[in-house]
Amino acid sequence: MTRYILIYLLTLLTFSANASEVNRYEQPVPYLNYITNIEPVLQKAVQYYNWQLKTDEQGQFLAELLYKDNRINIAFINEHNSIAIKLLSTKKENCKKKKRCKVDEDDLQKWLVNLRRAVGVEVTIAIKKQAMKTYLATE
Amino acid sequence: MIILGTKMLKNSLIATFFLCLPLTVIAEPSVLKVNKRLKLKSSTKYIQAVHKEINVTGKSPEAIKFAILDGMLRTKGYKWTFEGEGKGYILAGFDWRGDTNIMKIEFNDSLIQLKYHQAWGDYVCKNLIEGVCYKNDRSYYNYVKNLRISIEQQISNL
Repeated sequence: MTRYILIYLLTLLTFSANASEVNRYEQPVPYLNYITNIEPVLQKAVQYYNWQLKTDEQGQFLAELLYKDNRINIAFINEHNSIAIKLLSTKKENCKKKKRCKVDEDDLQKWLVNLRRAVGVEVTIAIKKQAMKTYLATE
Repeated sequence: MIILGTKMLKNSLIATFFLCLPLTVIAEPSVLKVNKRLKLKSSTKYIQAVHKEINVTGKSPEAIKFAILDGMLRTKGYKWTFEGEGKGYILAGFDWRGDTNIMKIEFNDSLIQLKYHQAWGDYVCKNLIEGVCYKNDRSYYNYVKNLRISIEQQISNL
């Protein structure tokens, strides 16, 4: 029995170790079947923290943040009825001293988590609107 | 060699069974009974402020779902976001200064109950028993308390 418990605990530890390797901002925001057109949701979400929404040639949604010489580019991965953020590039512009030419990692994490949160809020608003319609239709 | 392989397979199957146990337990809200004898425990008042059930008798499932989502967005100071759903529950997420907390809001035709689901950083539960977090950082109880209050308020507004 002790052996089984040990195997169970080890497996749990492995799972939790793997889970912690994923950055919070990379975790997909699920929208399930509630949203058919994600563009208006992203349009509103990027405005929370002054990101610019763009699209590439394939129609994939991208976003760019330019804040105090920091230029951050991300792609929105829209698959499995959820939206995830993928970091594409970071750049510190107009830097003269080599030591200061890197985007601060803590700031970067904060900006990306904030963007994920903004997408989450907009998705929640859209789902709530659907829930309200369903509720009112049953009254 | 074959015996060893069979043994390993048996062990893995049993381990998988134990691993799947928490997932197969059906989510159901219930009346909170705080075990006051536990050593590793925050104040009973805090635990109740987060995990105490909300009575929803007479409300439709559609109304309850709407009230939960509305409550998440109207929480004092900070909006909670949708992180998924299943039969009888909605997952609500909260990110604050590098810490994350995800609550499982369980509901049926008579009760809503907030249960601890997952956390990173300061909000990781130190004593979790059947979804009730008995020991955690004080800020966990403060933030989640506001979510519970907000949902309760939206239920009363229906």
